[in-house]
Amino acid sequence: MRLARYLLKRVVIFAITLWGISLVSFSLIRLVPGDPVLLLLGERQAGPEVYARMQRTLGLHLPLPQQYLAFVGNALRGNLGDSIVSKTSVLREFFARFPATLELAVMAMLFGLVLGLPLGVLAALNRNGFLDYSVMFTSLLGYSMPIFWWGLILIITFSVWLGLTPVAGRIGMIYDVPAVTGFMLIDTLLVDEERGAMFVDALRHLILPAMAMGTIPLALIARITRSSMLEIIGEDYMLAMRAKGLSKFAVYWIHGLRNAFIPIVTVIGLLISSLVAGAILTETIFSWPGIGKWILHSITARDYPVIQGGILLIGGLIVVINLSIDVIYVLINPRVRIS
Amino acid sequence: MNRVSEPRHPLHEFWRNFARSKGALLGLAVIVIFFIIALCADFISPYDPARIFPEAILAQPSGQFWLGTDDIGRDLLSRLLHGTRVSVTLGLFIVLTSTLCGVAIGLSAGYLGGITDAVIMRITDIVMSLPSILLAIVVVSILGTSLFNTVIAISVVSVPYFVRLVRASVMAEKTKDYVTCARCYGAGHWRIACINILPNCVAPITVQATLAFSDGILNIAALGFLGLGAQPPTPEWGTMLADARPYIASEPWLVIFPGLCILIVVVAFNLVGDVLRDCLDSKLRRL
Repeated sequence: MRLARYLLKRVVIFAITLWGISLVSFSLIRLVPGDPVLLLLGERQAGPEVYARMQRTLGLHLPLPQQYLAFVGNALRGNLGDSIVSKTSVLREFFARFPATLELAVMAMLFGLVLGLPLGVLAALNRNGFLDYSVMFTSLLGYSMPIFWWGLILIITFSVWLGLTPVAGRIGMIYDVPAVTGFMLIDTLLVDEERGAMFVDALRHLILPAMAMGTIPLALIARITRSSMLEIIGEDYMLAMRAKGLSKFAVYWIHGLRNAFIPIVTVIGLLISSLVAGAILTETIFSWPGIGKWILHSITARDYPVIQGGILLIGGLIVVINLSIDVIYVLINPRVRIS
Repeated sequence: MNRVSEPRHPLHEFWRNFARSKGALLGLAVIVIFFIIALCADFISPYDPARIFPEAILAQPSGQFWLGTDDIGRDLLSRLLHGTRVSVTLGLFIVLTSTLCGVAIGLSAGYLGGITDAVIMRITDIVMSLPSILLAIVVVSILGTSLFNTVIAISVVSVPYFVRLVRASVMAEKTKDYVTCARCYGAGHWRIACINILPNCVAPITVQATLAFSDGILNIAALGFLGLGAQPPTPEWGTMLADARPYIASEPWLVIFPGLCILIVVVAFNLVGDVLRDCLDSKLRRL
């Protein structure tokens, strides 16, 4: 019963937050000082009919409450308006770019987990030793990192000096990969010829941005794994398992890490929103055609429908992910269910 | 007969704990140097940051220009030193405004509770669910691109963190005996909230302020890098990085040094913030 109540509370908060995000994204365009329609039409001496058409495109011709209802109603039906620049549907534009960002974010998270977890465990097992201090220092550097600079440094090192990786984009110009799933790594495998070469090329394009974007997650995961493991190591059941004759490896790396995982899941949840921030910067540096670059462009171009819809979609996405993490958290942690 | 020695002053005790960490001392030293540079930038930089040397465009680091010159022939070292001033001023402003607003809002939420608390917390939930840099970009795009608007935007997005923190510590303090005692003596709400409770929440606020400084510097630089912060003639580190991007292959030092400055300052603040947290949080304090 407790569990049901807890979940119900999460869902209610989720709904309120989502509503709040809709208000935020709705207000933005209306908060612009002056007339956004004139701002968009700019210096061009626009006639009244051009003005009226633009006002209608932006949905600014109705009284405010009606505007909001129309906005929410349309959004619920999947209509977020059309981009002023490209004249295509905002929703379609979003989903055309989303896989690129998702692919990058997943790789960045993998980079963070694959390196961060073992580093954290190693640091905890060598508490106050040289290894511990090195890991902690690296982690400090990692989460202090201005990633827009870090990305450039990675380019200088790996692309300019070592010549190992390409500088920008998702795949070499010579390859023409039809977008089936939108995920370059999968799409290259669906092509008939030169499958291997294309896949490797896509992977080489992905490595640097994923490293740049994964650095902060890596640092935080290593840190939280270390402190969580330190708590677990002192528990009696760890000693009991050693006494039972389990190997050190099994005790620490399997049972220990599994029990240390709960705070790590929380941190991963917190990282989702920082990944979106990372995407804006990383995609700008590596010319990665994803959501971050798209929303930044729409802001410089004053493409209000895109900004409005983009904020709603990004915010909504983050809230949905956070809700699922809350649920996962309860599922993997029986202690929350009982107490 | 042994006399019990007098307990040390809490500040002395705090300093002893703080100075135990070499990293914290190093971080503090870097911060002090950083502030001194910001104050004396005019005297210690070799040239005026805006002075153009037309004969030395993109000069390599040398005796005359220690760190080389940029694409229009300005001394990089002088610009970096003056950039310290920009970061310090803006960082201080951001920390000050967000702390003041955050404390006021968090204190009301934690002390008043009930519907006020619920409303404030839902608003912070909403603001925190959007990535701060995205919100800052949006705020700047609404208000228009200027350094002042950047600072406002970054202050706005760092307020919720203070609100949460202050609210949580106020709620923990509110139930303690000394508050009940003050109430029995007839102290009014203002007195209890501001004079009795607030001073006991200073520790977490200090830690958060330190971390907000480093976040603020990172965000200013990020917005500058995206072209939405300080505008070109201002010697701001992020903007300098953005300007240097075309020369990444030929003149890498133009890219390396501004970022290194950002990294060093942010590391110093985070180092101090982490140790402060360990010292001030009595639960974690090493006994």
